[in-house]
Amino acid sequence: MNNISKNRVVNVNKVLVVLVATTICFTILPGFKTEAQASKGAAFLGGMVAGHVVTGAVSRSKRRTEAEESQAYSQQHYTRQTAPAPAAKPTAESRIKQLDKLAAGGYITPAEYKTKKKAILDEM
Amino acid sequence: MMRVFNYGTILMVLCVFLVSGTNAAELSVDYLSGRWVIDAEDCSSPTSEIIEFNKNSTFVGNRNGKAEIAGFWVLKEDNVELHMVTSPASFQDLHKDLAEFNGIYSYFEGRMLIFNLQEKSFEAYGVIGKEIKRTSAVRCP
Repeated sequence: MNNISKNRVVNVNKVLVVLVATTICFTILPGFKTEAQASKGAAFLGGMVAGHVVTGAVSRSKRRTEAEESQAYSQQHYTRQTAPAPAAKPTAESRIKQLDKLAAGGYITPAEYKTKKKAILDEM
Repeated sequence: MMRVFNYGTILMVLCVFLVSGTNAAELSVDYLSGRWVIDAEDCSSPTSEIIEFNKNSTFVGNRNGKAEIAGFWVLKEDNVELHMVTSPASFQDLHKDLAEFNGIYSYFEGRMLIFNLQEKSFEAYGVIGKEIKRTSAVRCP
């Protein structure tokens, strides 16, 4: 094989490498889906509304039942006091809202805001 | 052979850079305006959930070919505030107890934290009250 033929083989190899690399870049890589993209969901907004309403209704129902029990208990043992309920843990939404207020008021820097918000989201 | 390998490696790195660069998008009213199908469903499928953000700050959530949620949206940094009205009865297929809300329309406040923006897709965390859902959206033609 002379030098010209060797050069042609090298050039063909280079072209092949370019073709394979381009194919990978523009077809396979963008085709990878993230966890959320791959998952299926029935209803995004509706699912949250439904969950919010049902959870709220359950909470209200539970509170009502507890209140009724408490009232009945008080009627029987009106001199006895019940222990105070523990404080509810703030939700991610309320924490982010509080963070928004701190950022808007200039109490924290944008970098601190981003770091803190990421920490809240990571906890979910 | 080594030269070919190096040449290919450089090209791969360049291509990955180009792909990530061409797909990156900036969150704006113009970007978000339009129709988005949720959870990578088919835009033309009648059962898909489609959210349409209008440039006039209104939005509509459609599912099964019907508008289920309507309201206003406000873009604040990477958050989209949602002020919406819907009848929970629209979602009785998700929870049968919601049927009792038939004809009752209520206001809900929520937000979408948008991330992983691509030219024609994004991911988001949705928050309404204590409810949090992660989803992805793909732009419909």
